[in-house]
Amino acid sequence: MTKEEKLLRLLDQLPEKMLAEALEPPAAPSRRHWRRLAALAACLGLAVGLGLGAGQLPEGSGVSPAQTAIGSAPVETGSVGLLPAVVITPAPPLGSDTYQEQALRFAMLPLGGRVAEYHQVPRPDRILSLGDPYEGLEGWYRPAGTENLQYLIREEAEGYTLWEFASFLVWEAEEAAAVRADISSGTSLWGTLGWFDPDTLDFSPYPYSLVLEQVYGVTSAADICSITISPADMDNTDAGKALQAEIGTRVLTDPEGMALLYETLCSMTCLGGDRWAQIDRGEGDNPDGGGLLEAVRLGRYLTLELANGESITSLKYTAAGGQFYEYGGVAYTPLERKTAAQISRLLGIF
Amino acid sequence: MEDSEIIRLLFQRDQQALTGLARSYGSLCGGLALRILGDRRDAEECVNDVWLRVWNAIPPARPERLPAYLCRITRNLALDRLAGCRRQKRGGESAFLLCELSECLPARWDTEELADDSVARAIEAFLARLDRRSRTLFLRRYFYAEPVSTLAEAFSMKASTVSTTLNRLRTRLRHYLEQEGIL
Repeated sequence: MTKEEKLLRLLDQLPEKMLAEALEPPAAPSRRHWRRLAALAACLGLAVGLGLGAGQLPEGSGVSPAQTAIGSAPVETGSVGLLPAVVITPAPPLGSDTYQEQALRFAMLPLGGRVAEYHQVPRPDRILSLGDPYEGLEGWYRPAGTENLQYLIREEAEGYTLWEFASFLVWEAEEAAAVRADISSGTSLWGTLGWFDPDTLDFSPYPYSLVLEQVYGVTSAADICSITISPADMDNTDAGKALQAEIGTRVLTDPEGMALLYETLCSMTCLGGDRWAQIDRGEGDNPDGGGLLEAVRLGRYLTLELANGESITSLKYTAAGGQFYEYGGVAYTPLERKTAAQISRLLGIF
Repeated sequence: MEDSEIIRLLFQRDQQALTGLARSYGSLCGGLALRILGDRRDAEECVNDVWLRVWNAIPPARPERLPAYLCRITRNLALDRLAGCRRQKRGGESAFLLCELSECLPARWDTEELADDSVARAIEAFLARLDRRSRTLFLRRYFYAEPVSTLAEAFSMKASTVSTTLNRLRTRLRHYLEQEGIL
């Protein structure tokens, strides 16, 4: 018996209850995914009032009222990606059909007339100083010495935690209408939030320039110092790893390249998270039959080092769809053909 | 026929129970056997073996969830039959399943270690931590051997999205097993 056959056999030892559950019709697609997540966040007090954000303080800065070791939350993060999003809280567990891939905990925060999703940074190996209270938000602070909104600090009973911006919430009109209806009928936890008003908040797809400006404080190409371009890693078979090694990692500091990337990023629109169906990474209909190798060939992961000392690590690009995307299925509009070709060349995808 | 009635008849050694099983679960078990074996005649024989196995097992067994119980037996017998005839042929989804699962196994994973119950417990723990939708997708692929196209329809997803999601789940399983010190 081969190892694969033995593994297949081991599944026979799973409990009947689990096997029986899988025979039931699958839960509906998580169309209301964020509604549930956000509602729970609200319930847990993770989502709070409208305000500005925070950024990271350079290490050792001592200008704050309190120097705080971030990461003291009592969360064992060894299973990041597997645990339910709010497993450490005493609140009711997440619905069984919610999906949380990257972040252990999340928070929904009003930001500039929109709802921003922040993820707790699992292992922030930093010493940060508390800055001003995040305006109107009890328990939330900006790290001292920064004006952008990439990071926020939350004071919790067990310590301080660090949170990083992920994306803005995008709802289709149908979804927003459903939330309004739920609020009217008193069945939505969104309704318990004083700041949440679906009639005034903007849930439409948004330009990435908004994120660059409001979240990262990037207003020109000069704010980007360098771009580290790494191979995509969705195929970790021997062949996939060999291709990744062949592609390698390189750093781009060319001002013209920086300008092209900045202009391109500003031109694209974010369609929201959990939009995997709108991301064509080139794996085709059979990713396990070699398509993932093609996705590696056509994909690159970007790290933008910023002049303010921060970095943007979430952007990914695929030449298959000619589009950027991020963790969590955050999808951006495909680029114009000519622009996509320029970006592909810039990133070394031929 | 209700599950409780089938089990009652089995305890009474009434052969009507087998008729009830075939009517209620012939399609479920036959479909699973066919997906694993890829041969209709083999699948039919396999399902007949299932009824016999059930007849001999109940009593004393009294399964709480009869469909899952039957599928477990069907899967076992189908895999046995597949192993017996694999030199000659291998059809259905099994070849794909084995290929996909190979990604969860590094070369240094010794075959003997796989027999360890701790591996099974770790897989169970991994699945328990997934959201229900992901867990169902994983089990319907790797336990119930459903093809990607069927899963795509059932989950209202594109086939490519199903494959990508399964690939992520396998990667996460491998990482989890590594984290648990099993790999």
